[in-house]
Amino acid sequence: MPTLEKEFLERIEKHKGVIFKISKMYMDNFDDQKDLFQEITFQVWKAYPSFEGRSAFSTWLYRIALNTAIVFLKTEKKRSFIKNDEVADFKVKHEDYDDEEELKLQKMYRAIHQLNAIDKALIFYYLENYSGKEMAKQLGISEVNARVKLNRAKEKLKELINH
Amino acid sequence: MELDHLKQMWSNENIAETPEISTEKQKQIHLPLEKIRKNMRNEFYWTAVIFVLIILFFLLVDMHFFKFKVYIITLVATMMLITSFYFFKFFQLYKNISAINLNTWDSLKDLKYQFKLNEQYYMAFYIAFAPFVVCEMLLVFDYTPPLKEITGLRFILTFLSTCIGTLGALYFFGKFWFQRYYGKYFNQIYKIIDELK
Repeated sequence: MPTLEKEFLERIEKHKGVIFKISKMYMDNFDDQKDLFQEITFQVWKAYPSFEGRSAFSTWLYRIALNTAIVFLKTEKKRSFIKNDEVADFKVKHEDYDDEEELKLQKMYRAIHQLNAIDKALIFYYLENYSGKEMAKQLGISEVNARVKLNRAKEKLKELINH
Repeated sequence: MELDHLKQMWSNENIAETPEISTEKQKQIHLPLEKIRKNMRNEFYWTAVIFVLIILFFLLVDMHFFKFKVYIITLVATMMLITSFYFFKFFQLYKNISAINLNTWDSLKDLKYQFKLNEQYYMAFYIAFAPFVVCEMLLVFDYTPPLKEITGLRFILTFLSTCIGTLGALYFFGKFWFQRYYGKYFNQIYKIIDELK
């Protein structure tokens, strides 16, 4: 295996969990989540030679991951006649989840799925503890704009979770 | 549920298993720009196939108007050349890698620019056919017996209305086709850009 690819795989290994969380935020179907995960890793790999180390690897990686997720198209063919929500409900009942946190986590993802692509990105940065300034830099908008948009996204999310 | 609690849940969530990390391109297309380019490439291929079939038809079918056949074949062959030119130009666009590692705003703007570029090539490709359509109609009017007989003001009116009608149909068909196969992806990106503004 070439050195660059080996180095890339070692680096990305540490962040694969977060990449999958991004996939879960943007896609409600497991197959689409898997596809998005793979698309992100491919896009990151394609861009990897241009990584100059001016920012932390994770910051650079999250930017690419979100840029990919924002424009990602779901698979057009119908995978199942059962709605995704039904699959999720089934999973919860079938696997007998008694962990309250797990259920809350599912509720959180369901609420996030209802946000638009940009709000999802803002919520992601918020959950990853990015400051308004860092968020603005990642998104390429002004800090004031980023803060306003984040507050709106947080409000929307709060409403979706609590209702 | 408070949002601070979400933060805690998020960081506590342990993703034990993820899909395999792959440096290979997936077979399925999920990015709009790739989808648009694939659709355009297919369209160009089909256009070329149709032109070849038209040429073969005129070569193989016996017609009484020899000159008419030669003119039509020459026109369609030239249309094929034009298609090849756009096809070539279009393939060159593939070499431009979209700037995915820029910040989100610049990355979306770059995507929009690439969409516009694709759209311009597509529109130019369509417009390039207009003179050929007019020429073909000239030939039809000059060689087809019932139309050949028409003269004077009636000829001017019939010819002009046919030209306007055909070019109008070409325009509306082009618009419909573009919206159906490409417009939805354009709109998706423009909507995201508006959300980020």
